[in-house]
Amino acid sequence: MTSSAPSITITPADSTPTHPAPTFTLPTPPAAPARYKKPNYNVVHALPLPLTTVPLPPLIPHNPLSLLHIIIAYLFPGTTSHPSPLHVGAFHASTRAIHVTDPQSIKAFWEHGFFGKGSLSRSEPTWVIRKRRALGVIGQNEALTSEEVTMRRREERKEFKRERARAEKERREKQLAEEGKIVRGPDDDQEKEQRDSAAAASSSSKSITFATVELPPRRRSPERPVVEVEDLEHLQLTLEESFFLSFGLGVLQIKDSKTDEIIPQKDLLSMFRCQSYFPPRTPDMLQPDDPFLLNYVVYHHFRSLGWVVKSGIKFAVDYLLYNRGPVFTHAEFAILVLPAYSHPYWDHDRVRKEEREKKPWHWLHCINRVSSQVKKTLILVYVEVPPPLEKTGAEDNVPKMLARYKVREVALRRWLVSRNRD
Amino acid sequence: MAEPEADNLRIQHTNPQDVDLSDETQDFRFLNLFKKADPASLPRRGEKDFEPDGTTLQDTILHESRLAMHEALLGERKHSTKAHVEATWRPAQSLAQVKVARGPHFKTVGRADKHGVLWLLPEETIYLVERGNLECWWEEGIPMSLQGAYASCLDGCGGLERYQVYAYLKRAGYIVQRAATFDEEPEESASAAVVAVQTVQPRKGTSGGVGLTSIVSLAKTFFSPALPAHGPIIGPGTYRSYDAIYTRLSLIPSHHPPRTPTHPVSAAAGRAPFRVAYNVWKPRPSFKKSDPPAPDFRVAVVSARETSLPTLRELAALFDSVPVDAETAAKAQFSRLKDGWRNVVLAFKGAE
Repeated sequence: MTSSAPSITITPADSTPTHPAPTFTLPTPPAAPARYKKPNYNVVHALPLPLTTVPLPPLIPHNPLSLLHIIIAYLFPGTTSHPSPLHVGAFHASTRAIHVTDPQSIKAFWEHGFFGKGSLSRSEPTWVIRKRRALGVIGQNEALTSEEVTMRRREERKEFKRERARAEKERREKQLAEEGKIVRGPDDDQEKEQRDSAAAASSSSKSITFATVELPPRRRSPERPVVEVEDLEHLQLTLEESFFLSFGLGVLQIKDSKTDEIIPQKDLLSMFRCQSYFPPRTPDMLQPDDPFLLNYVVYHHFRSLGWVVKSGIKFAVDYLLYNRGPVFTHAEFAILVLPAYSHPYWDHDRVRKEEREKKPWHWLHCINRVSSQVKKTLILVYVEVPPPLEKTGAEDNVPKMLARYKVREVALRRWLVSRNRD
Repeated sequence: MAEPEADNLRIQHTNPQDVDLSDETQDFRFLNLFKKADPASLPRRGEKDFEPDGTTLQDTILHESRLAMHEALLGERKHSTKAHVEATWRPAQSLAQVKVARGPHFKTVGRADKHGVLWLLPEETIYLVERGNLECWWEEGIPMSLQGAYASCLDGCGGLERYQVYAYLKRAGYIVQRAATFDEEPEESASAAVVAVQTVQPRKGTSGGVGLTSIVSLAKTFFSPALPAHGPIIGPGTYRSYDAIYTRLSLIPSHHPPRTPTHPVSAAAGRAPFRVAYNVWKPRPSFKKSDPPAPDFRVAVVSARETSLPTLRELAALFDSVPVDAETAAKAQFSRLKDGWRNVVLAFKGAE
């Protein structure tokens, strides 16, 4: 993270020609709809990867000219699948991430394949929307971000729990009074009244705090200055995501944040492998089971099967698999990456055989319990680690090197005696 | 948008697999209802009351609950003469010989030899003695105590852990039998077999004739350009479909389980504890112990303290020893992914 604290720049409307200040009086707008209509995610996220495809024209059997169309389209493709120019990201060793600042690139990476995470947001980079709402530029229910939806839901649940606790307390007090353990006199009603008024006060004070955030008159009034909030957020790509985008798809160029020069494609892998240790290792200390390689093999495997792969750190796993993307459905699967040292080369390696391969059961039970609580199927992904390559330069062929790793998935589920009997 | 509000829906449709009744505090008053009401009806569970809150009402409820539990524990255990079964423990065979078999238990336990004598396995003996359905005798004609039954039979059960899992499943109503891989094979043959186990098998062409697939693969090797040494795999150019892109991206070899029912490689069954110890069936009236159907579950018994997660090799051997689930092929894609093609239940025994 850079040390500069995020700040909001408010520019008067006059200096930004794209947002002219309204000079006419607006009619009073109708009451805002209670629920904001979601964008059509099927359209926004139509492409599963930040690549465009150009399908060939259809072949119509009774129209020989259609064949000609196909031949022409095949020989002279009008557009390429890759963006031009390519997206650029900057590698920051301090955050061990690739920062993407260009808004077009951020949009492409998020909308087409859900790559990366906003540096000031939970997932999709939406900091600017929340800030604009706080400043009253957009309405309370307009373009709700996932953070806000969650916050509202939590608020509702909290309120429900408060209500339930209050009802329980009342019931108990009533019972105690019936049993004569507490005296309920005329002052009791008074007390109740006090309590009610206190509750009213607390709720009204709550609405006051809401009102300060809301600032509704500013939005509707024609004299309201249009504020422009500068977006200070960038997209963070993990090392695995950026390597997939550059080595796999070829849509990302990575430059060094210090020198501002593009890092050559052939240096990327060894740099990322070195960076996956802390402190970073030197290239001569790299191993076939580097954290980066193990994770990337699994990441690439599931991406090549069409899954949307996101980090699973919030559920104590390595990855989460989304069917189409986080906006459509919840993640179905939680992925744990486990190295397997089945090759005879590792038979005498005590550290790997005894420590890395043998994980304790209680560790797995914890993770499985969390996964079943959030309704995800836990998948153990065993990655068979090949022996190190001889120094013959064969390591230079990355696709061949990756193909030496083998992957096997095992699904894990709790089995309860009382629930499997029918 | 990591969590759209749809997750409220998921809370309502709680997966029954994830609700564990034994995790909750029990209100034992339901046992009272069970005693008084029609014995055929199942007890219903009441609202949870487990904490005194100062009211006399709550204290009464908790007291009643405690009394109900004690009442249930004090209940007299009887042997009726009609259902009285006797057996003699034969240490030489490590089996118990039943004199006259009576009662519904013998539908699922015991095995008759060719002379018509019914024999009980050690775990069946302990279970029936402990349950009060069997009176066991020493060969010398002295009645055997429960401690005696444990002391003489436990070794033949494969250890306390396996017996506890057996008794737990039996008490829960399941039908449990030893699997073919219950006993450990001699060390040499087992280790030789394990080496032969393939952990990752290549994808096998399932559709189309052999000739066609080989021609297609041949064409692929000729016409698809070699992958550049440092990427990108999807080089600059025009791509017609995402299928082509994904096919080109698939570099990593992965395991493809057999899709058709195959004979289990029982010789490949891994070393204990990662081998199937019991076959388990859901309770069913039509069960015939002489001709059991395919088991519903296969259970391996694992000590949580002494072992760690199975390595890939151990797991591969365990899976190779069980047949492919015949129902999986007919399932929808997502349940296929979740349920898998071959299943084993691992029963854990923690130290107590």
